[in-house]
Amino acid sequence: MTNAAATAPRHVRADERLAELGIDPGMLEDYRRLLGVLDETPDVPGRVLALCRERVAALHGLAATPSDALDAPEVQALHRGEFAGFAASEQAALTLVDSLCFQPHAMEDADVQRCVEAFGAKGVVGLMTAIAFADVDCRLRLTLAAPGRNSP
Amino acid sequence: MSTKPRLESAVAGEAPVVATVFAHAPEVMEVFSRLYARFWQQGRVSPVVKEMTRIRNARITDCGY
Repeated sequence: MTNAAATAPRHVRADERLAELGIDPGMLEDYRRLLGVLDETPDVPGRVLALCRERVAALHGLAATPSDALDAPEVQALHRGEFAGFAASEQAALTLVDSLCFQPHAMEDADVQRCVEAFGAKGVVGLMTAIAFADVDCRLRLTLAAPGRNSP
Repeated sequence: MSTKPRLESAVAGEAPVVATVFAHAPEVMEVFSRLYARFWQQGRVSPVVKEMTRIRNARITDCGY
């Protein structure tokens, strides 16, 4: 854990909560292995993944696990849904987030194409899977009553 | 909603379906497939209940799978 993370409010990830609840150890291991592979995908910068995870969390009324990749104004912008200050490739990824989580049928071909141009087909597969599992993480946190919800 | 594949198949001669598109990132596909298989083949919830929830989820999200 980084110093920044150590001083921030604790946000229990879903896998930690699943471990507390006694999920099958093999399934937990496989789930964490997938998260690890997604974290290390070389085709999508870690900062882009951090931006997307924070935006997913914001859409769910949650805070993401603290990341050194983002500063406070950036996190606030993500929670307001203001993407204009981010790089073009980052905006492309964030556009996918907003449709994938709650309105996947609203996703446009052009949105995906921008991401293909930025990250390549392999990167888009990793990016979409990472976004989907960030969504999974948030939904599990909400339904398993894990801490970290922003709203009172 | 798209009416055409957004990503090409990564497998020569194969149509762009979930598996062949996923194959662009084989390391992701491998760990995802392992988790997915374990989820469907093991656990305390019966396969019938899992399938019911899968179908209901697909209906809610208007997914054809």
